[in-house]
Amino acid sequence: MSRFGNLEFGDAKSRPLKAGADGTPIRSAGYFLEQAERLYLAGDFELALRNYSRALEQNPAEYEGWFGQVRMLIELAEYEEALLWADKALELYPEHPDLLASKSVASSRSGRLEKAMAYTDNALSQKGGTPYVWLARAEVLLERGSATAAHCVSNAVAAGNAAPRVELEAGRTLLRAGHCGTALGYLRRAVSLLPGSALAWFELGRCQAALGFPETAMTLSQCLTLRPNWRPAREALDRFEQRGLLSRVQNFLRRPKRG
Amino acid sequence: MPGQTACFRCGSLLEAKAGTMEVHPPRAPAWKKPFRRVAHRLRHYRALRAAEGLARQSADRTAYALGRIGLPGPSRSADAPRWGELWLALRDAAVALALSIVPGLAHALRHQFGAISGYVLSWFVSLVMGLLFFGQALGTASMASAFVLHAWIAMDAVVATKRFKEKMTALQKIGWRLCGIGFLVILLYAAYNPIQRAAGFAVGNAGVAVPAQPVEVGDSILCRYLAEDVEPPPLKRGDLVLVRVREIYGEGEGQRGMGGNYVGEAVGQLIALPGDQVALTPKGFIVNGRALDVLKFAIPASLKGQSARLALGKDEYFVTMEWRIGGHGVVNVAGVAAMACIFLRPDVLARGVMRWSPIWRRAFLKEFE
Repeated sequence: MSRFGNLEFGDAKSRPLKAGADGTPIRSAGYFLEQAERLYLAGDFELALRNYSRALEQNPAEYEGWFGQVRMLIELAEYEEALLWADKALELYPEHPDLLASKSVASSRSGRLEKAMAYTDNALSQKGGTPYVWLARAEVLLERGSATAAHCVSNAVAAGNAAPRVELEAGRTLLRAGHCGTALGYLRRAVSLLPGSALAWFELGRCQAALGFPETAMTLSQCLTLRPNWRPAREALDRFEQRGLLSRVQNFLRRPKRG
Repeated sequence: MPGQTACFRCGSLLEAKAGTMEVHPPRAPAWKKPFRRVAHRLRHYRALRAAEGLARQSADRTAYALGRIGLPGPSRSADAPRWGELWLALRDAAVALALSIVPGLAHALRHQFGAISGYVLSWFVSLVMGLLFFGQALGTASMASAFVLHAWIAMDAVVATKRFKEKMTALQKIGWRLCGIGFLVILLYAAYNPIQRAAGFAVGNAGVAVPAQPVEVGDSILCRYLAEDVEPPPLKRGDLVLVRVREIYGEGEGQRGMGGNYVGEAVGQLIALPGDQVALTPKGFIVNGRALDVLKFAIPASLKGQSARLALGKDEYFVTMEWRIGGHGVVNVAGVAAMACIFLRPDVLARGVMRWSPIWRRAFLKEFE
């Protein structure tokens, strides 16, 4: 192995996994971060959190591990813990915009809108604004029903060079706020770029179900193919298939006209 | 870096000091989560109200941040004065309310019919059910649900207007919607009787059995109101008519057809018209010297076996129905009962056209003369 193998070039995702003599990957921080990312895209936030923790066990200086942990705590709706952990991460990486943005998201989701706005203001004022900062801003503004949120989402996508993850997050942010029509475009692109992500298929399915699209069943089935017996997806599919006559008529009327 | 076990540049092992840094985040106990969810929602409602004042400042800061990285910022619209905006919001709401006289029209014009189509369908079904079972408990319940749905659709049209949506918080929207629905339901309920009267139909319960129709006591009869400006009304002997019934004793005792207070409405059979000579015999009625068929002109149980002779005045109609007569202190029961069958023209409200209920016996009524 080259002695320069451990040099960092600023992109953790492109870092090749080291393999042992028997071909099995060495369980380094990079390995666990890859696993966490994979699990996140599969929608398994609990396991992803564990993998981020294991990555930090290997290397506590791994920023992605800290940030990932905070994000997963938010996904698991443990906002108080996310805030606490973000504060801890901020001790290591003071004034990091992503961590401040994650605090704003956790505050916003737990109903502390003023604090959320303060955190996102602080995050935006830092140098090196990332897509996550803009998405956090968008989420806080969407909570308040501000029209500026759409600019923040498009700005996030631009800042992330339309990366698949950013498209997915943008779609999720908009879907969360009930902007299903706008979210649909982002989620469709996310699915085309991340066809192996159960989370992307699930979010697209939810979006289509909200709009009453008949493709919902196919999308959610695809999600279940990627991650069988995933409860939220299974429930969403059941709900869609067991919808009553009224919902079907409603969906038919909602369906956009072709041509 | 405290707690680090490997060099973050080259990966070489450093002096391990296990336990110096905690890398496992704290976790929320599962039992706390539902309580937290409720707390978050309550906090969220409070925060949304407080956030209104901050919205403009934050929009400005966002605009500044967007501009800082060279992307086109949001246009700062020249906001109308506060009262002007409120006026526009109210105007939009009034237009939406007016359009919602036809349920779903306001939504359809805004291309939002899909969102309300289920409610419009339910309203239509309720309305049809209400008409089909008009005058019955099911019909009244269906009509009431149609009112509520109509009110809901109308208020949804109001709340969904763009300016209204922007002006109101989520809680205010719910409040407006509930108040609006309550108000509209009261309004529609108040309008129900005049609308029913204007439509010209009413449903009354038969107070007499007519074997030739056939009509039994208690059947619902659909009646058409008589036009007040058409005299004499187009009534024939044998018709079922809806009359306003007065109690026999009370104020004005002794006057024909002018007994006491009104006690309700009922459907009876018209036996004789103004100016006719009516004779009640144990075998049946004799009108103007002609004996009437007892199957077509039935004698109520309260008059069976009695005899009486009456001459009807100018505005008097002889309408039979079952009376509950105690006979307390009355010598001539048949005479009183026969007197009670005399109704003045203003008390004859409507002419029966259909046997309405039970629904499986629904049919138009026959004419005997």
